[in-house]
Amino acid sequence: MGKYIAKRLGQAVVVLLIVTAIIFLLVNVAGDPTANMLPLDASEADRQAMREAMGLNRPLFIQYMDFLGKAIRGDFGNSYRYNLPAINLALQRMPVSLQLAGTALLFAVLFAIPLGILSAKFANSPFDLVVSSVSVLGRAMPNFWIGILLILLFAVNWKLFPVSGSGTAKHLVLPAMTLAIQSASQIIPLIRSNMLDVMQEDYIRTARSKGVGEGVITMVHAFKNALVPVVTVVALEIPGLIGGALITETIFAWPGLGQFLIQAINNRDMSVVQVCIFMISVITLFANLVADLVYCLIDPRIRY
Amino acid sequence: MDKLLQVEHLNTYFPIHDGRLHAVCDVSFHVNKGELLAIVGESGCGKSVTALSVIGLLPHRCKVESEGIFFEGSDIGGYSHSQMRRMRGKEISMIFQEPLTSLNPLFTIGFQLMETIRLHDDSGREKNREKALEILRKVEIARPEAILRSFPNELSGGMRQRVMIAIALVNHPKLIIADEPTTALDVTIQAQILALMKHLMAEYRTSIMFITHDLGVVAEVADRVLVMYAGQVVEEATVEELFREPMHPYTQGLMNSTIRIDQEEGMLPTIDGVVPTLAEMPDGCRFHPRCPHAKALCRSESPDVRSLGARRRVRCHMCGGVAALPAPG
Repeated sequence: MGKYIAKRLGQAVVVLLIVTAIIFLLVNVAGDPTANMLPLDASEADRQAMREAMGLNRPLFIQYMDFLGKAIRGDFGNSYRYNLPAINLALQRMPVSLQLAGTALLFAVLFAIPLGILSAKFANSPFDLVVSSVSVLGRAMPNFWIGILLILLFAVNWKLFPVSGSGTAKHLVLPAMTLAIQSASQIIPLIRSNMLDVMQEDYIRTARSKGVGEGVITMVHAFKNALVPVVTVVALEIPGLIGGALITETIFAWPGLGQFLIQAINNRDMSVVQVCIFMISVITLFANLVADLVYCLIDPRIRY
Repeated sequence: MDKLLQVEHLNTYFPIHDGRLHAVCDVSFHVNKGELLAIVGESGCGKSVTALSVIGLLPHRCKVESEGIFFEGSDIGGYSHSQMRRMRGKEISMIFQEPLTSLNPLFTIGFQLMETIRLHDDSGREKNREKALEILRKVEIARPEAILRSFPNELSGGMRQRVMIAIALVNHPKLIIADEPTTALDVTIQAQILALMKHLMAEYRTSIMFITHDLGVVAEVADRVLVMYAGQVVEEATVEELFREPMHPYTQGLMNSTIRIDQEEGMLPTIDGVVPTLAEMPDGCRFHPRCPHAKALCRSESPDVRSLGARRRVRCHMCGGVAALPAPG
């Protein structure tokens, strides 16, 4: 197991190297960074001086090695806008994003598991039909629309929660629900179909032949078997919830990593863009690794 | 001999979109205490469905009707789901065909074995564990402590079937239903498992309803035999009588199509045709399209089961009444 984790971490380093190359090139593709840093009426000589000061006139490869060397030491350069180290700014946003993502995931799982199990248990009943239709709808509705709908209902009409912003638990509910509705809509049909498959297995009949009650069969014998694919989907959801909630964070003015990334893109604040993408990549890799390790805990047949 | 289980006129139906299929048709039989009753027949003849009907493990949509399924005198056919659940694993337990898929892959053997103990006869964690270890030793599993901690995928097919037998036996049930317990195992393991079952059956004074399609296995283990064809009982006899003198043409066909050690070379005799599907049962005797002795009567009228002596029954117009059949051969 330790060997496997070491191997996976080694692979992660390679992936992150590729990520650094991509985010480095991205900025170069995006155009001349000095264009935004100097006043519009700056002379060509001033621009040239700026480029030389920033080392932008050097060969691309040298620039990349320079970027990489600094990145390894955690230095992604300063934000043009705030004139502070970009990584510190991004790290400040991180807990806020984690809070939203964690709450959203919790909501999603708390909704999806009982609904998925019940709609499998009562497959093709009116209840199942409603749950399945709603989860198709949940997957089909774009985030910004769900978000606005929730604001309209719960904040404007019924005044139960604030429209936007952050700070209290009440602020957390609507953005978390927006993200959770989409995640749960992915997880519910998966749990439903896994449970339906598992309930046909011979070992479920064995459990019945031992006199195990239907409740325990469903919740223990079957559910654990239905869980492995769910872990995969949840792991794939995590990066999307932490850094990828760009639109939801923007709608609700939630000061997380996603909103920060959108602002940085709009401001062409490239160091921040780079560090945000880098951090989302790290989260993605980490979530995948954790998922693979969780499989091991659930299923003894999976050994690395 | 005392009857442990007596099934009277069992009928089982499967619902289909335009009606229902009659999978088990008027099946009556009994299992004596301490006896091994074999139920023999081709695939799809209703032997497993009969067994599942008795233990109440068919899907709820299936309809089981009978004039009584008497277990030690009480009619378990009328039991509620929860009453049946308390019976299963305690009074009646079951061993299945596929040891590879019949154990839950995500739980240890210990969990799956001790769960059965805990459900019916909980006497604390330590005592339950002792009981589990004891039964594993009884089914001749070496290193039972290690096996308790193992997962099914770490065991061979034969070992898993031993574990299944241990789970079935651990609460000392009065009846074990074994649905082709050795079919998925290779021949040497099969012999070991059969010997083990016979041995434990005597030790625990358990009765076994043993479902198989293998006449070799029947000859080896059975006390009495029930031959089923197309959802009906066609012949019932003690194992000696059945092999000495099979009466129903179907039983004769089965015997003839078994390889014998003294057999000359050449094609193995077979029974022509296939088992009719439930949806297209022939009129009259269900076996008549495949029967070498079929007469007009067989095509028009379904034969009743006749008793020939105390322990012998046969469902054939040609046996013990209307006309005698030529000897098998």
